[in-house]
Amino acid sequence: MSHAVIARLSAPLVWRRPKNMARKLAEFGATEAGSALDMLRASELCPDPRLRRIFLRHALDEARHARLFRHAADQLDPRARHELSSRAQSHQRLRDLYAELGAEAFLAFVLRAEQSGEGHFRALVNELGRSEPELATLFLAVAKDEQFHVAYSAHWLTRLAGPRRPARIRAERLSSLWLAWRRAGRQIGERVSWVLGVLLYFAVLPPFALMLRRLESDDPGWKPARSLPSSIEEARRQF
Amino acid sequence: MKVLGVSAYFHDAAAALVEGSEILAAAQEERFSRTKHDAELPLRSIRFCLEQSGLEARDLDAVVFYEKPLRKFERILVSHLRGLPRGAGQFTRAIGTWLGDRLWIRDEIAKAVGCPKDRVLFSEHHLSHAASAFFSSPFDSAAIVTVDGVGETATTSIFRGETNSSGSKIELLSELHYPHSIGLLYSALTAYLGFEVNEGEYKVMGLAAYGKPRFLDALASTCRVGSNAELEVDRRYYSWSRSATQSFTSRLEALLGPARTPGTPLVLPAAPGSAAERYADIAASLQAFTELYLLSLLEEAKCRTGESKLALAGGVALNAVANRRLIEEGPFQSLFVQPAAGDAGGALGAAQWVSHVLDGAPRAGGLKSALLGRAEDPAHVARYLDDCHIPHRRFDDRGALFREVARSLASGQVGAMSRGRFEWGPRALGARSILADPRGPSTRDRVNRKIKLREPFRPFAPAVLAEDASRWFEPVPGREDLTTAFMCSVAPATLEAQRELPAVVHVDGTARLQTVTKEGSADLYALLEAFRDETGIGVLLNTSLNLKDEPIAATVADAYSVFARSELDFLVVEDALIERSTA
Ligand SMILES: [Fe+2]
Ligand SMILES: [Fe+2]
Ligand SMILES: [Fe+2]
Repeated sequence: MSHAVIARLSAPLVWRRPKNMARKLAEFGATEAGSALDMLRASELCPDPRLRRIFLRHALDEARHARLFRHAADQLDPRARHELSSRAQSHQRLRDLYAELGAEAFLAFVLRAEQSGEGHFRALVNELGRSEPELATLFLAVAKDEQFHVAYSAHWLTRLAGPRRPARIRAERLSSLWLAWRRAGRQIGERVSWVLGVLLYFAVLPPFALMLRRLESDDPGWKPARSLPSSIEEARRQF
Repeated sequence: MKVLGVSAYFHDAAAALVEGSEILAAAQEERFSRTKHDAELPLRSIRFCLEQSGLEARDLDAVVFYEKPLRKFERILVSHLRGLPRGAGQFTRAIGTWLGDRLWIRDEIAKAVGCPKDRVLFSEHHLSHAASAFFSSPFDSAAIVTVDGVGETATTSIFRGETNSSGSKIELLSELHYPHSIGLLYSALTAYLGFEVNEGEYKVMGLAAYGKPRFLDALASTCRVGSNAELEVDRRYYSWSRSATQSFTSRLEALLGPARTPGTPLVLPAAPGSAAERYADIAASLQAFTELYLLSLLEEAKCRTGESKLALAGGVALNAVANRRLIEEGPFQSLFVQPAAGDAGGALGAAQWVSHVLDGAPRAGGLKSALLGRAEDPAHVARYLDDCHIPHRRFDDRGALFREVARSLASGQVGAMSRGRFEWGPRALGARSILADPRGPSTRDRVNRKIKLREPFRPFAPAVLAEDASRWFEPVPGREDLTTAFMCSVAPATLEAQRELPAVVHVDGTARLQTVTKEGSADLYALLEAFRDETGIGVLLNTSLNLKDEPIAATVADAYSVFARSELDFLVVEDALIERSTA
């Protein structure tokens, strides 16, 4: 439901202008590439042969999605991928989710993420079916893969967790809430340091700046030889 | 003394573990985290180094960070203050990241490693580069030159290194300071040419071969070189000291023409009068300017040290084309370049500095092999392939495997090999490599088609049996070139190579060769021998096992994932052979 609403609301903003579309597709590409890495690592770490096989297949699906999205982004605007912010790309740095969570919690996480992904892409198919038929076809193909990912992770979660499955899913909801909260906390932290930085910049630093400008210049010449740290004691210093 | 070196928070994070003169393990974080140029604290590389050497954190005598963080912080502060009131946004962002983790690096490292805080030491950025070059070289005494973008404040340094019966020492003779930096100038023009900084420099080097240096004078007017290799960058053209996002100004565009938009196609060889021709000419001019500057820098280093041998490191030392010219025309008899010459290499150098200089460990002949990374357990590989139902054949006999691979390559197949410990440094040296027969005019296109998405103007490199090298590539008469074992220089191809091996010869008639010895890489050496038995030629085309924009493979899953997404004909992982026809 919420996916449909979001798709409806975002359509005029995102899915009408090639530049914005390209950016969105590039972001999707980065996300899919990130999940491909998570799944690939899971396939290496998981001891169950059947699960590891299915994780590998899942990884290759996500890698294919990444390629499709990036290709579509490049078609619309070759700059989009280069301009992706480092934050949008940073979640590519995997956290070894499988190692952190263990098989059951990992599957609960995958189930939730894939459900959300499938919902999102199906909503976009509905929204863009007429205005962007090619993209809608792409999203539909991807949504079908996500459907398979939902199905297998649901199946395996039941199989491994049995009666604990509802608890696992509840815990996963909590943990993703917690993750979101942590992200918010981090953003608040960044804001605070930004405010501090601005204060420092305008209130405290100008006198020093004037002094420095008078004292030193960016002298382009060779600096004289100086001695390097020569003992463990000196090497402890950070300056 | 067991010393762990760590580099992080700038370009390429890495960890290296040294005991005495032995490098027990060294790896760049991107291989594990699968994020290109990952600069975060290298937790996985640290864990790998400990596991590889069977040590616990408490066994470490010291953990050394590759630079002095507060000195760097001071440089960033000061350069912002000078720029006041411009760059407020950049300043506040920088403060944020520094307050976030970098100012607490001692605690962060102690926590990450699990060691007491007083074991954490700090080297200096250029000293770490210098130590990595000198202590990895076979030289007892040498000039050491380090050139990169910027460390704490230094951008270019001249050292002298010496090892004698009383121990080893490194002296700093002189240095140039930020913002005057040939490395940052190269990066600024890399950005101008529409490539990603810290990634596209190789592409600029490849592009340069297609151009003529007709902008050399124009470039020289933006950056003055003094008679003793002093460097003065003109701030009217370059803005890296004032902006994190824009390193050149509109004035540079007025001088050279509009900058290239990233991602736009670049068709080469370029049509006369086209924008592509201008970009290739600018790349060629930049390359020429850099080479001329480095030559004058070497003269200065020779003059200040009186040494006959040179060890080189820092990001600029990865410029293989320049390195050849330094060997041919420079004042030194011998040249060594450390394979991880960029910031990753600082982790190794910091550890070597503590071990040899502070602790007085004796030396043992220099770096013989760059295979210092993680190896996959063959049993794990076998089980992974079985579990994932990936059809493959297993070979108990390495000779039989390599004979089969050599036959496939000779018949025109393109395959990959992932065996043993992976490489230290940015280059694939045969442990995680895509390989092909270098003969025949169509090979280059075939490889490009099978692994896709690579800029077609970038050359492929040859791996050659060391004893056959002079048949195919011109050595420098009277000079000792210690850079080819790690692919750190180019050489002109002989007439025979130009005729027989077109796939590995660049448009300018050179090749970035790797000379392969048994000591350097037993597997690649044996495969080259098998290929020579098959074809009479001990040369293979060698390129890294990855797809575009991804780090080189580390594990069996990484390698298989490249195979599955490309059209490679086969993949060797440890003793298993996976073939496209059956996979
Ligand atoms: Fe997906
Ligand atoms: Fe999925
Ligand atoms: Fe550096």
